[in-house]
Amino acid sequence: MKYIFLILILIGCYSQAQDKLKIEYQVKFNDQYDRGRQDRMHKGYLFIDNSRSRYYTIQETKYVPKNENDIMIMPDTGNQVFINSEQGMLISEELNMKGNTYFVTDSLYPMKWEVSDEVKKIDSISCIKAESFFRGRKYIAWFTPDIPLSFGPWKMGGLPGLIVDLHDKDENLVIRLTGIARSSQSFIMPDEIKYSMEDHVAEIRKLIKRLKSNSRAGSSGDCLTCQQQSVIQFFTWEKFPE
Amino acid sequence: MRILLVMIFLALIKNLSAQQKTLTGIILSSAGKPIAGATVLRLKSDSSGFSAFAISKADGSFVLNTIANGNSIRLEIRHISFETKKIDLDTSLEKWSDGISVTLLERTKELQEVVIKRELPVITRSDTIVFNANSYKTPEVRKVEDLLRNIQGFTVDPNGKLSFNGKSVEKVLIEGDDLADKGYQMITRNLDASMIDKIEVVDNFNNNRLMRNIEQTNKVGLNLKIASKYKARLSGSSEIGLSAQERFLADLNNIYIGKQIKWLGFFNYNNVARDPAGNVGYYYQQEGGQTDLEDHEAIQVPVLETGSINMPAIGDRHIKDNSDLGTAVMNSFKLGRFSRFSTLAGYNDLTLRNRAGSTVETHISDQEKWILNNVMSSQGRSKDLLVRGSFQQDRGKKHVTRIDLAFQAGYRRNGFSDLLSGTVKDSLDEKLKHRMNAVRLDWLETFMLKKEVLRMSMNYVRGSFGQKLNNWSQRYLSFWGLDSSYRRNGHEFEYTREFFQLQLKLNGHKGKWQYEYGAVAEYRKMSYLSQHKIMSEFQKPDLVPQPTFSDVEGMQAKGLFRAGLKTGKKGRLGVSGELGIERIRNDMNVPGFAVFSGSASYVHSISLLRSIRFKYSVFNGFAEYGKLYPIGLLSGNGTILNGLNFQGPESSHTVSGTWQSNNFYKQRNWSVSVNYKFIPRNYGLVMTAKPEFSEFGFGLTRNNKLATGVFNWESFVPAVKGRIGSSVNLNAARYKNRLNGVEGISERAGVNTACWWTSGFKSLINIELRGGTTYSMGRWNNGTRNSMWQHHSSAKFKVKAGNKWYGALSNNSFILSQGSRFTAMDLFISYQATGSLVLHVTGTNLLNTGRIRESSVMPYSSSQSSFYLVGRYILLSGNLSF
Repeated sequence: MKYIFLILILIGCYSQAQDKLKIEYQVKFNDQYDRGRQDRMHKGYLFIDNSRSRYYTIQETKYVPKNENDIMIMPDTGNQVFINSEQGMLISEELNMKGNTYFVTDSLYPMKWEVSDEVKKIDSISCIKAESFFRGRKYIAWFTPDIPLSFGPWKMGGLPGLIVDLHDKDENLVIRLTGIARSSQSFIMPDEIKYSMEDHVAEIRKLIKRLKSNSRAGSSGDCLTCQQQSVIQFFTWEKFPE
Repeated sequence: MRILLVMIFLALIKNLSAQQKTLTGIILSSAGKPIAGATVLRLKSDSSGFSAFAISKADGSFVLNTIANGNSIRLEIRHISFETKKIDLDTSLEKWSDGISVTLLERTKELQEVVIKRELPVITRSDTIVFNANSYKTPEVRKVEDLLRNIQGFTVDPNGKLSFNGKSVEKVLIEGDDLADKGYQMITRNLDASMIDKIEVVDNFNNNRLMRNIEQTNKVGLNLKIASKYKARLSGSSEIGLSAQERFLADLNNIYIGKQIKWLGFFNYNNVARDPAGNVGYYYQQEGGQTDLEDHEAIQVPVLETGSINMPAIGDRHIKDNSDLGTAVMNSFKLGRFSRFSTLAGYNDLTLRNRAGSTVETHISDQEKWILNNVMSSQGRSKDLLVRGSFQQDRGKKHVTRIDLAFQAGYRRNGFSDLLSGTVKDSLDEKLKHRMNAVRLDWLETFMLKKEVLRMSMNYVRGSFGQKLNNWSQRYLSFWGLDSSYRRNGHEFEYTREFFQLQLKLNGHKGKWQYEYGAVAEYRKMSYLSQHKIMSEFQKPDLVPQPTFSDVEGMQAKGLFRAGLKTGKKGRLGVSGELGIERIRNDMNVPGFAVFSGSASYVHSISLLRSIRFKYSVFNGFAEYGKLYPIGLLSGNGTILNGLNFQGPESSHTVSGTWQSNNFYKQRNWSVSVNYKFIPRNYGLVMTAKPEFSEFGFGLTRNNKLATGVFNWESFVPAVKGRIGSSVNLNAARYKNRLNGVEGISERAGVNTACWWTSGFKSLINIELRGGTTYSMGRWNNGTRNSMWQHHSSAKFKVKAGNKWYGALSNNSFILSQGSRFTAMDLFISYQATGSLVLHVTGTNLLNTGRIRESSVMPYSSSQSSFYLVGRYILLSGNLSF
């Protein structure tokens, strides 16, 4: 039953004003990336309304801390990204240390794709391989020119076809298309933008610096002979140069 | 106005496009509106794909790079709401340098809605890895065992024992229930792979719920999840096969998986070398056999076996006279909320016939050697019956009771004829009857105390094994200046063994420490009764049956402790020890002695699938308790040897290191392990021949030094679009050996290498190539030396045609240094006739050439055997799932 299968249902004609699609992805995310392995399953949803899109994920497997010192801050929906390709705008949802979310503008499809000659069929869909190095990770995408939509999951896109499969080199993030359906759901682009991506990164750097200095201060304190020093490590999915 | 804007736009980009070798343009709808998000592809000249692309912006404009002036190009413009349009351009024409305007028509064809349901092949969750079975099924996969072979990290030995990432698989559960205990081969060799949905690999497996996360087991458990469509109803599969070469196959397995009841039954009768039961007789050893201390890793490496080369069993696996009937039923019933009762009943009937010729050359000393030419034929039939029951009760969160009761009875009948020439002349025709039975009771109570877990267990085993030999032999023996002739016509033998053990263990943890301490008391008793009749020139008149009776009792009491310390996030340091005394009462003057074992280990687990381990262990005691007892050798050649002796307990030191890495995401698996073992004291057997000789045969060794090294590497390599693998296995041993009363130094060394390449499973045509060489040498007393090598190669071509047809053709070749060679071809074709019916054509040993031979080399002897019967057949079969 769960073997790969394909159902084709014919739907009515499109007009340009009715280009609303709901694209579903299966998402596997290793939330211990760069530190270990703990895969968790998510559902990914990409809603497309003409030249706009909204992508978000909902977890299917709950997070289980690997040890009692682990703290994971996450919203109910993760990796939320809005795109308005007419305006060349990408808005992503980010988190602060309190777990509150806010929106950040980012460049639309800044990654440079190298499209290869490698072709494979994923189910009955003909796909072409493309690779890109984006913010510290190498991504491999399989897109299909048969569905001429330049959208994709998360911040990925800008290819001459919908992204069907996407994963990073170590498969910490694996995203696979599971369905395309017509949708009546509409969404509103966020209008309260807190930062540009550059400002957001600068804020994160400031925060990390502050936490590291606090950690050193806390461990040294007034104790002149103390040798103990805490080591705080920060891991971010997107890596920005120092 | 819009047209004016377009013209301004095109004018603006004119110069730019000409200089940068770009093509510019604008995409418009038939109503003249700009179209955003359209993809513009520059197609390759052979239409095999595209070489450049662009996406139109909000104003419909696009810029396509890498356009070489002077070439004719073809563009394809696509949009989800518009019809695809292709246009050919001659870029040398001046007008295109101004840019192009393309008008798309609204899509009139209906667009497809797509639903794809699929799952990822591997998911890692904490200490559990979940494999999606469908990702590993190929047309050649029939049973669960075949499926596991396809999963990176699993190995299956010839007896069906499984290991994953170098760790042995303790149990195979079905939907969380233990139906087959340690004889899980019955499940893995019979259950149809199509019924499996997921395979869960649980690391640090512990069957005792209360002990999970408290005890480090270093063992792995498998849990098979059944596909939902096979649940809560009677389902299964059946395969029937026939061949013109008098071959047959009848296989039926059925399963019922409900909430209260789980049931698995199978029946398999064939003469095509399928071992359905995984040897029901295996349970004999478990229930009443001789291996008492199987957990002592120090004894796992058999010194005397290393260095020999055995041919893969190509010849005897398909002899048509050999048949195997296996059937078993396993049940599990849920009784109320906390209790479960499971039963297993199995029956196996195995018929084996074989004919072989062999030449054995044994170097007694530098001056003297024996040459024995042997023509043997054997036939045997064994019937094994197994019944076992298990009761488990989980009383809430704090108490678990588990009671296992097993009974097994077996009957075996063997015939053997032997014509021996050379140094020893002999003819023999004999019939052997064996019977065995065993009963085992295990009772385990586990209590969760305030800070610790208490385990109290009682184990009782009683097993008996008897043989009755009737033969007629005429023998003339001439060696060492002694001539003798005799005939023998009867021998009876029986031994009974009892084992009783009480254990008390406490487990707990404090901070980073985990600990266990406890006490064990054991009682063993072995009774041995033998009587035989021999007629010989030396012993006239005919002997009346001479009963030999031996009764041995042993008692052991010891204390034990284990402790584990977490070092950092990934390391774990472990120490363990056992210390006690053993008293033995028998007629071989074994005094009381101290038994002890200990180990120190360090494990660094980088992840669930990557770890490095070091271990040192020491052991002193009887690794195989049965060696204490006299056991007669009953083969035709061995009737003269009626004693088996062991001189004192052995001790051993072992140092090992292992690196294991299995990366599913990079499709790479590699491991390195080294092992060194030193046994300073006696190890092995001494056969005494009475009354003529004081000692005969090879046996007792001292100062054994054994080193092994294993390297395995396999990875997907994009450059060759497939997997490449290699393995190297090195071994070397040196020890003082005692051969027929003469003591000397034995040395042996061997290397086994293999490499392979296999293309992926996804494309239509796949190729697998394998090749390897094995070399082994042995030296006795720095003089006599033997060596041999073997080359093997195989090639396999697999073709998939559509979703229904699949074919595989493989060729296997072996070349041995003694001039023996063998080549055979196997064929497999499958056709998926309907969703539930698959038809197979299996051709085995087709186009075979050469003789099948088996060779081995030891420091002081070499042997070579030829099997006369080679199976060659084509089997037509059909597999129906229901």
